[in-house]
Parts: sequence; structure tokens; C-alpha cells
Amino acid sequence: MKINKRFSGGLVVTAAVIAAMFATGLPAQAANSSPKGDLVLVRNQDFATFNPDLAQNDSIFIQQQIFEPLFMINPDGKDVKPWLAKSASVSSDKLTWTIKLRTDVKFSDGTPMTSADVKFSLDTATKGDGWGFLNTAIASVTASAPDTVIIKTNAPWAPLLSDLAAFSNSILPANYGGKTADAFFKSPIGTGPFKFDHWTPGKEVKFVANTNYWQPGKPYLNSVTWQYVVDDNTRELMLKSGQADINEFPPSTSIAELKSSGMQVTPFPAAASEYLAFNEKIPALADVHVRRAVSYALDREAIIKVVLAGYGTASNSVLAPNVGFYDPKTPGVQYDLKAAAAELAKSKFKKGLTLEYLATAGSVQDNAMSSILQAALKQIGVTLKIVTQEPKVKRVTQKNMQYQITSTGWTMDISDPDELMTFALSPVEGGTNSFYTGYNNKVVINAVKRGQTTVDPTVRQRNYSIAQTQSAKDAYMAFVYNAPYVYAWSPKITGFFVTPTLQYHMEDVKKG
Amino acid sequence: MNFLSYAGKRLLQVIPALFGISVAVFTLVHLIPGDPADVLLGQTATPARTKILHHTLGIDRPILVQYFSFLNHLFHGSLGTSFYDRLSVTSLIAGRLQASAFLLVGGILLSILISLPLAVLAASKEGAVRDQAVRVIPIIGLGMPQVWIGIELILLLGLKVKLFPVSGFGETFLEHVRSVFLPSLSIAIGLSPILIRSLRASMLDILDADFVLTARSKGLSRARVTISHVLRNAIIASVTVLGVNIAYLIGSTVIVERVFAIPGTGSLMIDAIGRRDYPIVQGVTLFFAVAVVVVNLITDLIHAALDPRVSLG
Repeated sequence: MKINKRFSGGLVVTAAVIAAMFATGLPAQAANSSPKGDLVLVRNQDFATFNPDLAQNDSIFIQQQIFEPLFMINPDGKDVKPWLAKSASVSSDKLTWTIKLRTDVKFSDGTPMTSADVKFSLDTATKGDGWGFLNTAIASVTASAPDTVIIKTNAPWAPLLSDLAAFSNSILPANYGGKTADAFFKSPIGTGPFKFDHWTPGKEVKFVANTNYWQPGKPYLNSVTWQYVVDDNTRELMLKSGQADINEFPPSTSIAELKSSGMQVTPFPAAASEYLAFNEKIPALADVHVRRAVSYALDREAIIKVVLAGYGTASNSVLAPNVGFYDPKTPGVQYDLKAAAAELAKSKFKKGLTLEYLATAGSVQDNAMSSILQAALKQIGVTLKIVTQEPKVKRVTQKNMQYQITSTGWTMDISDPDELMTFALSPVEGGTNSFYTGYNNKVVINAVKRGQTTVDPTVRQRNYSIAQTQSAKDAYMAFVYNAPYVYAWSPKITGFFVTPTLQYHMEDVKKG
Repeated sequence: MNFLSYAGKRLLQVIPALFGISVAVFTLVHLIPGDPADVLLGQTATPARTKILHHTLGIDRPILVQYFSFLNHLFHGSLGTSFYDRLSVTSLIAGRLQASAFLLVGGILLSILISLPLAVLAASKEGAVRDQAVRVIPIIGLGMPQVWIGIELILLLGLKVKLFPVSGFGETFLEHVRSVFLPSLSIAIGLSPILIRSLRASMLDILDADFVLTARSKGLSRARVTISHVLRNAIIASVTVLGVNIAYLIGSTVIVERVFAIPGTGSLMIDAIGRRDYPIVQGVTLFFAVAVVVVNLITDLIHAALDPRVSLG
């Protein structure tokens, strides 16, 4: 059965068919033969690995300049489009997916990409201890023709194309091009717009233009260097002096100064959320009225002003607005001290109580959130004790559920909400006891499961709305804010854009 | 006892010290709360995946087994593999050594270049305005945080005057020298006041000595007396002071490294602690320990070479 609806949630969209027709009709064109400009991007995270299975945020977005997936997350973050794939279709029983591949894609060493590379890459990714869980629905991958791959799933699986768009499912040369995995990842080759030049741990990783790139006329840049610079002030000074071209995540306190010195500063919408988690093993926090009271007492606008210099929006749902199936009508609790007092009055703790906020030592965000919440709760008779722990220690405390209230967050890895919804709301299947809160609501769990296995987008929306609405009513976490990704860059740079899932399309960037 | 046998004896004495350090570091690093698997798995670290990774990293084994494995690697010349980027710890340390060495040598050279003339100037007339000035002004440098000194130097000499790069280490030898000038100056501004005070005090003591009076009565010039007789003797105490401070600097240049984005061993250590990257923490600590011992040994040898009264034994 040919599918002609949207990709989001696993359905093949009209756009895919159009893209496929468009792509096949295009004559093969060369990549940019004379790329210009050497770009330096400074960031406070050190690159760690080229192995997609081991990658975290420090490495994922850098790897994507070398490796590419079959499908790419759209600029709005809510959908995917064919990338190394040309089209996709699913059988009537929704268990067999046929993926047609582009035939003009080469690895940076000039070797054409075929279905054998795709099968090897997906099989390797599925076996991975790190991100293999994203492929749990995949039963088999078959290379049926050089330009065709058949994927069978264990059950109807709506997020499949979103899963295939994940960095962990990037396409590598079959059998690592005849090398061992270790040797390959020390000097990787891929289909991406850039090819590996060098990596100096603790300092930088540099790529140069891939002249075999499949997108005609791209990339525009001659090289991109990602430098690790811990100090916020130094990154700012490097940008101002011209030693760097893009500064990743400048602190909010420096934004005004950067703007006044002629730098471009842009907040890109992010598919990321900040939460306050409530541990329901604590009797007081097992009471929904106490959770609601605390959530009502959280002045989100004040926090956004202090922490993000105003760049951000109060959150109303477990999903961020840039995630597919986000429901803007979700009744997430917002700041209202009268409502907070009223909720407390309905609880078993009418006369007040003492709660404990576990904050990250040295975190501006936690300092602001805990202090603002402490002052508000005091007005309704709740004493909030603030304790701080070093970040990694705090994480262990959180995982052991030895906290009462603590800050937590999530950044989307894929465009589909399935991964987050399962982690956040399915205590057993997600494996994290609902973000280590102990929240367990069968209505929500069933809705999440139906959202995962139903391919009809209308039915998925209905179920994800149920899950968002019910979890908001239960105030199982306080949804705090959705912050954008803020970048500052030199006026010499054009075409720089970051998707809500933090993809950098450096092939579109020009310098000078 | 000659230099070589003295150095050999001192190095043998280091072995039990290093063993003690390895036990202490290994125990302490494993006592720090926090889980390396959490760092590596990020937000998707479920207990099930954490368990698998613990096994892969070998940190689910009994602590004694892990320690003997560490020692076994050590005897085979390996410090293990980093949890974070899966690279050999030895190669990671080696990759950072050049930047740290440039920084350290630059800092020491600039400290000496600043301290020697100022100490001589101050000691040449005790209590004079120049002496008071030399005693007071460098103290300001000692009281200023290195982060602040670094940022001010970047603003002035990097951003406004554009004499030096604001950060980084460069690629060629000349770029390295240019890149480490400002960070070395930050170190020197902090280190020089200590050296100036020590050298000035020693010189003033020696200026009153009989042999200085004799030299002067022989008609030797003031400059020759100061350089050949006073400074040479006064410098002996300062060598020890410098040695102690170099040993301290080996593990404490991290702030300067961070501000100037110099990829040195100090930054490697701090990052590894944050990531709970046990093999790197153990490896770098052992390396620092050996480096401190070697610097102290060199200091003793120089001391002995400068002062014939000091015996090696």
C-alpha cells in the first residue's frame, strides 16, 4: 500500500512522493568544487566519539556533518523528509516498509552508497548497547536490490521513519569499509557534506568539504572546526576578535553585550523542556493537591526572566511545542498563588508542610528556580528547604529516588514524541519509573502505547492529547519552561540555522 | 655521591610513594559519588542500560579486582582507556603535555625575567622609593585572581591591541609561543611577587656579608659585585622557592588553561573528574605525582650545583 499522508508518526507523506519524483527527475550534479571560507564554531562541550552508538549531545551534532541518515528531521522539528532515502511505503498490514534509496549518493572516498551499506548500518545500530533501543521494533532489514531496503517490524510501529532519522541510524560503509570499528571511527568516512580532517581531544575536531557530496553545489564552506572552549567569557572574546565565527549557547547575561558589538544573536526554537520532578514515594508528594499547589506556586515568567534573560516560554505540557503531536490545549498548571493555596487546602496538609528541593550546585537555573519557589511557597505555608549536590551526585540521588523535588529536563533525540512519552510516562516500558517520579497512571500508559502502535495520525493525536492532558491534571511534574537554543555569530556568516532537535545543516552555511 | 647515583637513589625512593599514591587515588576516585555510565548514557540512562555499560566498562567488578587490573596495565606501560572518548589515557596525557609544558616553561621564564631585575633593583638600595615600589606593586598581582588577570590581558593585548590571540594554542612552534605568552604572563604575574620577595631578602642578607665587603674593597665594580657575588649566592634560596612553586603549578594551571582555552593536562584532569572518567583521573594524578617528584629532584640537583656546601647523600 502506498501511503500518501504525513511522515510524522511513521506515515509516508505526499512530500516524500513529490521529493522522490523530484529527485529522480534531477540530473546528477556535482558538489561544490570550490568551497570557500573556514568556519570556527566554539562550544563548551568536548567532542567524544564518532561512533553513533556511543554519542551524546557532545558528539551527535558534530557527527552529523560526516554521517547522514535515510530521513532527515524537518526544520520545524515535527516531521521527517527523505534524505539518503528517496521514498518509503508500508504494506497494508503495516509491518513491512520498503525504502527506496537515492542512487546519486557517494561516501566521501567516492564509493557509491548502496542497500548493503544501509543494511549493515541499521543492523549495527540495532545491536548497539547505547541507542539500539530506538530500533527495538525492527525485526529484520533486507537489502532486496542495490537501491531498495525492506524493513520488517515486530508490530505496527508509527515512529519508524522518525527512528530512522535518528543520528544513531546514520549510514556508514558496509563492514566499516573493510576496517575494524575502532580504526574506522578514528578516521571515519560518510556521505555527509564534510569529511574528516583531524581530531585533537580536548581542543578541536576539524572537517573539510566533501567534494563527493550528493547535494549539488554544496557545501559552501571549505572547512568547519568545532573548538572546545569551556570559559563563557573566552568564547565571547573569541567571537568578538574574529577568532571564532559562531558561539554555541552564550550565557543569557552576555546577549545584550554581544548584540551591541554587532554580533547576530538568534534564539532558535528548541524541542526541549525543563521540569520539576516530584517523587511520589514521598507521602506528601503522592497527594495530587500538594503537587498542584507546588506547581501553581512556580512563577515561570520570573524564572524565564532571571535564567534566560526573557528568552523562553512557560511550559504547559510534557511535550515541547516543537514536538509532533504537542497539544497546545494541555491544561498544564501555570503560576497562580491563590490557586496554590486552594489546592493546599484540599490536601491532607492544610496546615502546611516542609518540603525539600534538591538543586544542582552552581547552577544558575536551579538557584533561581529554588529561590523563587521557596519565596512563593512560604506565602501559602509551605517551607521549602534547599539542598545542593554536585551534578553527577544529584543525578544518582534522583535515580535512586532519594529526593523530594528536583529539576530535570529532556531534549528530543527524534522528531516523534514516542521516545520521550515512553520514558516520561510509562514507568516499566520506559525503564525510568516515569522520570524517577513513580508516576503510574494506567490511562496515560495505555494512551502512550496506542500512540506508539497506531499509525493513523488522527488516532495518535487523540491518544497523545489524552496522555498530555491527564499527566498535566495529575501535576506529576511541574512543566517549567521551554528555552530556545541561543547562538551568537559573526555578521560574515549567512545561512546558519539550527533545528529544534539541534541539527546543524552546515552544508547551507556561507562565510564572507 | 655523584649526581647520577643520587638521582637514581631518589627515583627509587619514589616507587613506594607512587604505590601509595596509586592506592589513595584509586580508592578516592571510586568513593566519589556519581556514575560514569550516567555521563555516557545521558538522559536515556535507564537502570538496564546502565547495568550493561557498567559491565562493558568493567566497573561492576569488585574494587580489588579493578585495582589489580589497573596495576597490571601499569606494569605493562598502559594507564588504561578513557571511559569518555575510548582513547588510551597515555596518548591523551601525551597529547596534552606539549601545551602544559609550553605554559609552564613560559610562566617560569617570564617570572624569572620579571623577578631578577626587579629584585636587584629593590635590593640595590634598601628602603628607597624604588625598593618600596618593587615591594608593593607586585603584591597587587599576587592578590588578583588569575581568571581576572587573564581576562584583562585578553581584553587589552588580545582584543584591543591585537598583539596576541585571545585563546588557543596554535599549530606551529611560533604560534605556540605567541599563544602561550598571555597565559604565561598571567602565571608570571602571580608567581613573580613570591620570587621577588625571596630574592630581594636573600640579596639584602648577602650584601652585609664579609665576602661582599672584601669584593668591594678590592675595587670591583658595583655591577660585578652584585651579579657575580651577591646574586649568585642569593639565587640559591630562590631556586628552592621556584622549585616548590613549579611543583604547585604543575597541577594548578587549570584556571589559566580554561580561560585561554589551552588544551593542557590540568583541563584534562578537571574534565575527567566531572565525567567520572576514572582511568584518566588515576593516570593524570600519577603523572602529576611523578612530575612533582622529578621537579623536586631537579631543584635539589641545581641547589647542589650552585652551593658547594650542599652534599648529595
